[in-house]
Amino acid sequence: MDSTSSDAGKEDDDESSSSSSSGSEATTPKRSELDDFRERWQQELKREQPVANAPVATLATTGDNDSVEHQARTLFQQGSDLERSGKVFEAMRLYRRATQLVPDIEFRVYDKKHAKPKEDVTNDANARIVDGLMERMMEANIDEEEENLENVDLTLRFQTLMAARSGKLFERASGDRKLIVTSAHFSDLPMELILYILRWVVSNDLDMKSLERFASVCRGFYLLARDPEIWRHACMRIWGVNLGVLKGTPFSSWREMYISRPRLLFHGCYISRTSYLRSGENSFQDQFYRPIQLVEYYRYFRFFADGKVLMLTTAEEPQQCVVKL
Amino acid sequence: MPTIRLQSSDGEIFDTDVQIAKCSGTIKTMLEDLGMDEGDDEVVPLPNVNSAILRKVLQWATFHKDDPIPVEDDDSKEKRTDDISSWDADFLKVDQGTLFELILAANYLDIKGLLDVTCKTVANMIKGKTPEEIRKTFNIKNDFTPAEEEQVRKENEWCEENQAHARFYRPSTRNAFRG
Repeated sequence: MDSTSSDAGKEDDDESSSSSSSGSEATTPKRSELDDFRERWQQELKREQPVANAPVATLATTGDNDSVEHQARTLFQQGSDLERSGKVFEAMRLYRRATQLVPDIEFRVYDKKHAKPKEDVTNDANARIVDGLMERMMEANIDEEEENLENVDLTLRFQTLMAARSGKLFERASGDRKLIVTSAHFSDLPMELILYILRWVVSNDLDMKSLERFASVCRGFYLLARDPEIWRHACMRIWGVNLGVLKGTPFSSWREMYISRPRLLFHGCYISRTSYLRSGENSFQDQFYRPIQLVEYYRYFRFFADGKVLMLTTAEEPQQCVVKL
Repeated sequence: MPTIRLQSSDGEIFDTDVQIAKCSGTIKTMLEDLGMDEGDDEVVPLPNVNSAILRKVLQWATFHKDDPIPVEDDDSKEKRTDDISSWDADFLKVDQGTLFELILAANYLDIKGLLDVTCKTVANMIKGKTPEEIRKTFNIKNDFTPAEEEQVRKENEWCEENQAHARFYRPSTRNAFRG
């Protein structure tokens, strides 16, 4: 960590001095300092001590990318600090931005972190990779043990965990692993085919319940079932052309819109109870006897996703009717 | 009738009616783009499909050779999973491994009809099941931590039965004292 920040600091000095130096006398000593530094650096490079300098060397060769990488590095560091203090969500955002700038920033940072003076270059590289993995696994473990997930975005979390495992989205249960080695398993299907299957699961009657249950099976299924495209299709079927774009709405995802935006529900029936009073027939014997009747009846509506509607008007109580609908 | 020789991944050669082989978008394009002569004795290798699966695929294609060519996927199209023909249902009474391999083969060979019907079959296996039943059915490992599982359950709670959205609207009093 220390080495990282100090390196980054040097770089910073380097840049700021070279950019602000033009036309001012005071910068001359600074310059020579810089030149000294460069010379020393060159020598170090020649002496083949790639350990501390390896990442810096790559920086030097990449030239323009220096500041970008530095920025990414800073973001990443801030992210990891945040993560350590428990703000996983904000940390994820920073990580994400960092990886947008430099896709493999994580490895670069870890490379630096674990760069320690060793004689053998290859050994060192291996050790660094192992160290990096260890660190990542530890972090993943810490992450997994976390109990309070109230406000954690599970999608991000699982994506990260999956990435850390660098592998399949899900796997077959370990118990039977040996039994069915030869035959294909669900996990052999590529992602796009599973998504295609999920579109059939949702199908015409918008069976989101099955989809949500599918999401509760395991982490990989969760990620697949939260695919925005599936939910967008579902929203599309409900609101059609009035759907609009997600940005203009208060919803953060299509799924949220599907759940929260008012709409017709298909998995139950709507009941309207209507009652009114009417005066009954006057008794011919007693003029002052004025019977008033309370009339009460129900209208039942059941809507189907394919556009069909069932309507029933009856005086029967909901208990008897709802079952039949 | 012109035939074409298809070779499965394990080397078995299938002499197939060109008309049937053309159910596969992949083979159709290959024949058209490469301008293979139909009388040729050339072998078309299919390295991603083994002979058992290829035999099934060809069996399906033979039965469905007169089907209208399915239109490209279009969202307005009716998507239903309960319209599998009885022949297809019988045809797909196979073990899960074979079913998944058929899906992979149908995808690779670009046979939309077969891909749809196999995906529908899998979808029907998912629909209406609880997560635990799905895990059992497909032999999936539950890798959620208890905290995660709880969180997912909370997120998905909105659609479960006991959270029914049944609402009674306030009775409206209409036409009071009519008559």
